[in-house]
Amino acid sequence: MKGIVFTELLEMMEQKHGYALVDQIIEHTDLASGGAYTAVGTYSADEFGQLVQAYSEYTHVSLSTLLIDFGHHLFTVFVSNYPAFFNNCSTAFQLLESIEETIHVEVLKLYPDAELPQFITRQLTDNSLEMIYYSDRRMSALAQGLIEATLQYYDEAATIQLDWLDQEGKNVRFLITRAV
Amino acid sequence: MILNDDISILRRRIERERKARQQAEKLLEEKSFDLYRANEELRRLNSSLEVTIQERTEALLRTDLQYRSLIQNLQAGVLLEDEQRRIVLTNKIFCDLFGIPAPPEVLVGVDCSQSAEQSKQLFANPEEFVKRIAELLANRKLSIGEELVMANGRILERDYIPIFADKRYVGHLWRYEDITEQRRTQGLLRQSEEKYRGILENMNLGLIEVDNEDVIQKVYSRFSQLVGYTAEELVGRKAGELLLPDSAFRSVLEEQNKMRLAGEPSVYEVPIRRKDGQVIWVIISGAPIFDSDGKVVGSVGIHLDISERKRVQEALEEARNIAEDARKAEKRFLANMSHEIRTPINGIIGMMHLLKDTPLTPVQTEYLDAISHSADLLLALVSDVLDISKIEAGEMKPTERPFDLPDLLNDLTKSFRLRLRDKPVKVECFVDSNIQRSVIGDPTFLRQILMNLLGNSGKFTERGYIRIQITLLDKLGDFLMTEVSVSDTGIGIAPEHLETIFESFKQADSDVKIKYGGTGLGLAIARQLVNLHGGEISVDSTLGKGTTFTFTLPLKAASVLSKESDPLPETLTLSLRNRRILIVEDNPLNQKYVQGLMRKWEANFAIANDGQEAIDLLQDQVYDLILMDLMMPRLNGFDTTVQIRSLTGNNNKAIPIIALTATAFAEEQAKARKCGMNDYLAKPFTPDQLLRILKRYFPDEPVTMPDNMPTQQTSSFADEPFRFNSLLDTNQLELLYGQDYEYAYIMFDLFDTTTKPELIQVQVAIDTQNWEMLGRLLHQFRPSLSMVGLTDLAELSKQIEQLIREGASVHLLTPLLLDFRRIAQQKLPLVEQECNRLAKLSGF
Repeated sequence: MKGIVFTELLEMMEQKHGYALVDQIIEHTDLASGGAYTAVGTYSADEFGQLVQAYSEYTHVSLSTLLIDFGHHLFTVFVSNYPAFFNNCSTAFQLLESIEETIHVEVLKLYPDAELPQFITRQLTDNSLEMIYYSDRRMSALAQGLIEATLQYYDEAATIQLDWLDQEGKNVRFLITRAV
Repeated sequence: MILNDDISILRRRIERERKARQQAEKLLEEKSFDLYRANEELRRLNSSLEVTIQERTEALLRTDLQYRSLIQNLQAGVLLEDEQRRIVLTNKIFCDLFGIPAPPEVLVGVDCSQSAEQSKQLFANPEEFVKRIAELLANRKLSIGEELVMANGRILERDYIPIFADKRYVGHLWRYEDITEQRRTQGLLRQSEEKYRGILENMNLGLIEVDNEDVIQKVYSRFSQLVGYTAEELVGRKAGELLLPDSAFRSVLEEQNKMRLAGEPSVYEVPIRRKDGQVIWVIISGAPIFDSDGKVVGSVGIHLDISERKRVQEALEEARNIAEDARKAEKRFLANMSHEIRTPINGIIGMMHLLKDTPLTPVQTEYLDAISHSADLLLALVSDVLDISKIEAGEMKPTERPFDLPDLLNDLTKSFRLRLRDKPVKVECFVDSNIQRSVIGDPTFLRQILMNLLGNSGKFTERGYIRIQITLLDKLGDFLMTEVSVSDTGIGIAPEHLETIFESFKQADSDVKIKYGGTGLGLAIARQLVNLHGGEISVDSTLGKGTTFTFTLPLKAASVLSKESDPLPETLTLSLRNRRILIVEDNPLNQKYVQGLMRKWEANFAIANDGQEAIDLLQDQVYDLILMDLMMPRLNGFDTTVQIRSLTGNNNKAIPIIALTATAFAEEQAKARKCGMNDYLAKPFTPDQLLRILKRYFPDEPVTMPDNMPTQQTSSFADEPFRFNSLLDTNQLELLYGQDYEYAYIMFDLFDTTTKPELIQVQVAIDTQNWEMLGRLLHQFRPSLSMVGLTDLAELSKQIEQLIREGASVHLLTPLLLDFRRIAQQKLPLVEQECNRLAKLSGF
């Protein structure tokens, strides 16, 4: 898992709860890396799981909520760091549709070892878009946060309907319906 | 405390940040190194790419150069234009063809949208040229092999090739080639082909071409006419199956096709069935057709209709067969007739012999001798005719037998010497010492050949020699090839007669026949016998010097012997007083015969040996009648008569002339009358026949039959007493002739000249085991043998004759025949000796 996910998760924790919590979680969690992360590095996905789990325990906030929040946080980082992706798209649907075809392709160019979830996107009508998430990481909530942030970024009102296509949450269908 | 906590948190934070930075720096280094490697790899790839590009570029340049050079050196003018009609490439030949003075390289990039207009005057039809160029450019369709005639008469071939890249038109290629020479050569070739085809078509020769399976490939119209099928009906069919009328000729054709496959030409004849069913004959000259590799791919057959020729040939063949049959029938008739004639002659001769056994006056004996001589001559003639007929009818075949060659020759020459005793002619015989005595061949043939040749020489040789020479030409094992020549110092034969000398009844010329007599068959028989015996005869002669007959005689070496035996002849009476008769006759026997009759009839007579003598006699004396032979030396009967009838102031001018001739042809009779002869009498004639003729001219004259003839005076022999050779039956001879040696001589001479040559027939009869003929011959010759004192031979003859009549076997006959031969061999020469002695004695 890319280092940026760890650095931004710690960044979000620090922003919301101060560095003391970050320090506490790192000190009390047995992390392989010792809790030192750089955005350009790569770390075990299990470590991320440990951090989120610890974060949830310290803050008494559910994992999915944490991940949704983290999706919103990450989106702002993306907008800031990679504005070109956003400038090329004028609607949320355009951006969402470009994730698999354009954004992930560019990511893999920079980080050939990146392990990315797969999205199959299909526009059902002018105002509805179906996105199916596949990933063994089972972090569809993070995806949900990112989608919501995207809609907010383009200032589009929409409902997101979420359906698990399996028992584990590895295949999840998002039906995004824009308000007319 | 809190501060301490914060400080430791910060310390941990800084520591984490430092670790993260170190991680990032390590990553950066790794990435940098990766980048460096990637860069290096890129550089490497780049440089190899550059090499590849350089290589590719060079290859392209080379290819481009090759194409350019190819195009420059192409034997055609090439112009490559792009889609804007700008020149991309052209060559020297193109420039030359279109009269462009610039070098081709310079023209690249030049716009040629007006070129057609500029160069149109080069073409015979300028507007058409421009129009067609525009058409081609508009259509953008491939066009190959268009021909253009230039104003100067040359011919160009043009290709237009549009070029497309991914369906996009990018230009076009023009190719112009001067094909004037090609066309001229093709034209000449076609003319030549046309010329020969024309000749063949006009030559009445039908041509076809077939492949190696006999399948017709090409048909010329003349052939179609010949067989009545159209070319379409013929092509693709098998020639033999379609055209040959029956399978018998298939094999001929197959044989021919085999030869053709072997590359050999040949000429043959076959019948062909036309479409209308008519069968025609053609002569075919077939020759193989070769491809450019020299392989036989078929054959050409030239057919000439020879049906007409075939018909004529068949008609000729038929005519020839008819003629041949007729000729054979004639030969058979002649042979039969000759045979039939011999029987009565033999009867006459036999009866004459019997007559001689009765007491006769010397004159009677003389007449009898004359008759006998004539009968013998007649018999000889008939025998010759019979021989030649038999030979020509293929009935005479040589039989191989051992015989003693020197004996045979000695025997022949001895008897022949006697025949020529009154001429200063030597008869010699030389035998090559390399030839052994005993040989195998047909002695009868050889004897007869030599008899004929010797007889011929004897007839024409008055002095000098006659020589038989036998030489060995070659020897191969038992086989001996000998050459026999008979040469003489006689009168010779004129060159113009040499060619026909061996033909039947062809003597050198008619004068020869008149002067020397003979049947004209001797040499013809000799040649036929030589040929039958496997040899060849030729003649070489110089007029006035002599003649040499040479023949080859194949013999075989052997180890044994050979020999033979003979007959005799006789007279009549009437009267004719005080008439002067002139007898013009060259033949002594005939003279004697007529003389005798004249004496009997008490006529006054004179003898002239030929026409000239007669004319001479007529100048001095007046005669009442002339008996005139027709064939005589010097002046013949016809010419003599003509001369007599044209005598002036001579009382003999209108004298009756009776022709005496050996032939009985009507045309000769007519000729005699035309010459002025009054009557005609064919020889041999009886006294009665002559008397009847004479009575027409002397009607008043009483004919008396005198009772007795004047006795012949005894010969004027000398003082020394004559004794016959004691080996002959002297008692018998004295009883017969007493002191009349002249009479004896006449008998001996007659025997020698007539009977003895006939004895060869006895040998023939023995050789061919023709017992019936032998019996007849012995019966016929027996009295003659007695007449010359050969009583023992006569006795043997009687015994043999008796045995034959009783049908005795060969076994019983053989000892007697051997005795007969031995005695004949020993004693026959004696007769000749006695004849010579008697001749001297009686002054002949």
